[in-house]
Amino acid sequence: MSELQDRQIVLPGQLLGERIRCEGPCLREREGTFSTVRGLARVDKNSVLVIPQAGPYLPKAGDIIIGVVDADMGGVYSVDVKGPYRCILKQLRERGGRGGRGGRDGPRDRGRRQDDEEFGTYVPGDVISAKVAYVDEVKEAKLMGPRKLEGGYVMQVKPMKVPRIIGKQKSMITLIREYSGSNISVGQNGLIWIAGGNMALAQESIRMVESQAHTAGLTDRMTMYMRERSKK
Amino acid sequence: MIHMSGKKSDLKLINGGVRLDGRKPDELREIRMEVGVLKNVQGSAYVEWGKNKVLAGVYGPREMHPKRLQNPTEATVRLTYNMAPFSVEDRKKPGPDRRSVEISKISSEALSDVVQVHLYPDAAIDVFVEVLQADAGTRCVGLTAASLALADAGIPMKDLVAACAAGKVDGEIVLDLMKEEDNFGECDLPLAIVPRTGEVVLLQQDGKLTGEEFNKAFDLAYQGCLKVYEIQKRALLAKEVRQ
Repeated sequence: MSELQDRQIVLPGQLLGERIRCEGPCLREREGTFSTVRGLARVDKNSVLVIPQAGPYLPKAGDIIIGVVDADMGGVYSVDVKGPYRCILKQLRERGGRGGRGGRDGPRDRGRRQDDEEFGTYVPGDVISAKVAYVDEVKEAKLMGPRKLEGGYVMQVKPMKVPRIIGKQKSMITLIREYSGSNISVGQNGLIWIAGGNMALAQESIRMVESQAHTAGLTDRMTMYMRERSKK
Repeated sequence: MIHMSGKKSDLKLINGGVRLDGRKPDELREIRMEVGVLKNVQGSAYVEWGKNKVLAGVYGPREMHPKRLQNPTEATVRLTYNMAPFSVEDRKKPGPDRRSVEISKISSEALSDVVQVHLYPDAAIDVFVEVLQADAGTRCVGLTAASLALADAGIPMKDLVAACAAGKVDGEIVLDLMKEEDNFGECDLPLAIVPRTGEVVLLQQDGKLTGEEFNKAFDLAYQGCLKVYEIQKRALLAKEVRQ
């Protein structure tokens, strides 16, 4: 049973409870379960969820990330996603193979050429948005479905604040897009690409959400703020 | 009185149970801690401990360079301790020296014991400790600040590391030596612990103590660490804490 209160801030080494189920960064020992980070504890009967306030980004399959291509290794690209591990971008199907050697141009080859055109080519410095296909045992993530993001600029926020920036059913990011008129793409790794419209307002409002992510009633406050700012 | 290096001094460090700065033997200096003070790091902390002023910043976990030092089973915690040239009365020659290399090594090892390094194989966690003003006990202040900065960066740890020194001055065991006591005292005993488990992650001794004196100094330093731990926790909950 946990003696914590719901939404209590916990610190590394703090006892969460003796016989409880814990999700998030925690450590189970004989004396009980302890938090390993500074975070917000959400208590529900016999289970505690620790939401960390900060921390590095570790890719998970299915995440949409934004990254910067930092090396071209002959059609295989290394992508910097501002985490401890680099991501690899390459076409997941095998190149060449059965139709290739004799220079035959069957329907399958035409299909492959079309795939290549969609995959595109990249140079170091290109900003891309892609989906994490899978993460292998040495934590190297393979990306798929890349999309080059041209123009605009990239800002970085804490990865833990991304869910709040997106909001429930994308409410917060829709609000920011609407009032700033910008194209905004949010990566789970904390990189945000902004292009067009009032980019300064978009950046300012994202910073505001990031700094007040833990407070209640933020969407209402942001609506008021954006309304006032867009009148000016 | 004889300095640890053999220098003699006529200075009386304890008068009627009161030390030069008016503290009792078991009293800590004034401590102020603050986290999140730097912008371009993952986590940071600033600690003022008496006249010591120490800044710590954490970068990482990030890719380990040079790659030949990567450990495929766990992350490597690298602490770099540096004293600014203006941190002491006589200008200190910039760059690493024997002492700072030693402190960096022992502090890295102390932190590696609490950080959950197995979560980030191949990665490096870099901690930079800058001593802006030194007045004895900087390795303890540096380690305390580094531990706060790691917690601020959201790096999973089994607990914080709290550090404090005790020593022997004028034949008496005292807590948290200041500069004059460190220079002209008989012994210095820095200690760092993991308060939750009571594990000792750093223990050094510079000078001579009898077995009984060592036990007394160790207990005093341990109690000092627990007081430091309370201030650390308060600093992580609030932005800034003064004792």
